[in-house]
Amino acid sequence: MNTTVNATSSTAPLLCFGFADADASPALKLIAAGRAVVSGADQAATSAIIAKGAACGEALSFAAQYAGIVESLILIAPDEATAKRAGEIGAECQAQVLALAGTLDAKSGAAATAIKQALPSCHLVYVFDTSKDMDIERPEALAKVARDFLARRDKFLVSNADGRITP
Amino acid sequence: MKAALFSTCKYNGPALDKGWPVSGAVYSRQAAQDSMQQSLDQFQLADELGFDWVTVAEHHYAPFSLTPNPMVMAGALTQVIKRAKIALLGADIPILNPVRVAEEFAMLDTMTGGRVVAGMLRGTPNEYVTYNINPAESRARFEEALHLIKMAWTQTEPFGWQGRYYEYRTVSIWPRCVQEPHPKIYMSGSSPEAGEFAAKNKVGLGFAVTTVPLAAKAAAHYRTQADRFGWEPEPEDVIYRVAVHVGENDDQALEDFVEATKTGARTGLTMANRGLESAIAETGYYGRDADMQRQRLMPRSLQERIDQGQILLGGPDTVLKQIENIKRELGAGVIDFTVAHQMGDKTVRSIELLGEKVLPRIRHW
Repeated sequence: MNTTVNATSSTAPLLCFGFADADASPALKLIAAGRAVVSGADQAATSAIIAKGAACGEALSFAAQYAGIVESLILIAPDEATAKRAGEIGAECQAQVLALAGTLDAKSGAAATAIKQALPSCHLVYVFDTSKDMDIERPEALAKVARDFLARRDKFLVSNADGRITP
Repeated sequence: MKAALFSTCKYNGPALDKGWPVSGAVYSRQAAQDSMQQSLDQFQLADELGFDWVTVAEHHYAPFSLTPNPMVMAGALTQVIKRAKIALLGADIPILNPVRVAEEFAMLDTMTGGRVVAGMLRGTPNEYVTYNINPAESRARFEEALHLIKMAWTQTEPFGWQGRYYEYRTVSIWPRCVQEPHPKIYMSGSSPEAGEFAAKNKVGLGFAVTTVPLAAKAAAHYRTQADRFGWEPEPEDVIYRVAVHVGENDDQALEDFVEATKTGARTGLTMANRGLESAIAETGYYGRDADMQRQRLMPRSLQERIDQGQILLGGPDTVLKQIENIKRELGAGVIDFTVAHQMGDKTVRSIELLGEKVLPRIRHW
């Protein structure tokens, strides 16, 4: 692995793992919101990582390796192996983690739950009416929670929506 | 067969009971207090007589019901009902906060030691005006809310929810339900869409404000769909709610009822405001068999209501035959007796006759 390090920044590239064609993904475009999208572990470490499916384990290891640089890690429909890896890494993962599971995919729901139990800084969110391909099935829903998490990290728990009907 | 006693906790006092919503201009605070106490007393009597469930439901903005939040009445019932299950049939979940609903059911289940039945309804069409929810979203909201409530009951880790209609960043309810994994769930099942959803999600089905022939058709559809999803509903998976008044004999029951209702038949919450109902129908609220769904809400004469199984009226033997017909046509395992009209001592006697003469017979069916 030949990896360099990017400066931590809210405009740092979004590093992706496990997307067949990251450049063509509508969900990634929405989530990146102007950031560059780069793929694979040979890229420079950056503050924001997003991974899907079986690649979540690799992304988790990468985040542990670059603890202090990787601030936010989003795991989409993680698998059982990722849950096992999370158990091994535990508190070594300093990044804040968002584990996303589709309500139609019991396996990733179980894995995401196990990851939440293993990682102190993990948030578990279900994306309703999706399976492991939530980025294709409901890209807007995925992007809404992912963008909020990337922008505000654990402050995303607190609503900043304007609830007024009219001024 | 199990028996439940349902009361809307009807307000028995002065009211301008026209249309919907109903004005509170001549509302009597004392009558409302007395009406609530009367319902609590009747529920307590039902518990003592051996009814399996007592049932409350959610309705808004009319003297027809003083339980806009049935959870509050159920909370009171936890301190009165010592043996029977407390059935909420139900909460109108598309117009409510689903996490709050999950919390309230879990509280009630804890307070009763696991004697709560969880009805999840779309509600009558007019209810969508109550909290300003688009009726066109009713079914989709219902389906998502039900999934979210089940998740809130079963997921032990704090979780967030990114839905179409509901968004929460963290949910972790306390207390948890006593019943594992959660209380038995029922939903209203008059439309084909509802039967299909209930079958797919293995939840029970309840019928109200309908007729025996319409409910029988819907129950058959539910069973066919359940078979498709690889399971067979038990009799207790089907509830039929029906108005009832039992007298010492047929003549006396009829006389009581005619006397009590001579000021005019109630039109029902939805049809009390035809303009509103029509506007809601235009949103697609009723689904793919809208004509049939609207038809079941239409007012009928007393004889039609008896013939169609909308009201059980007579002495104990006659009422038993009417219940037998419901059991035969629907395969219903729970009959939810609704106090047909509050008549004071006559209603109390009707409940006693149900408990003493009817329940011991139907229990073995």
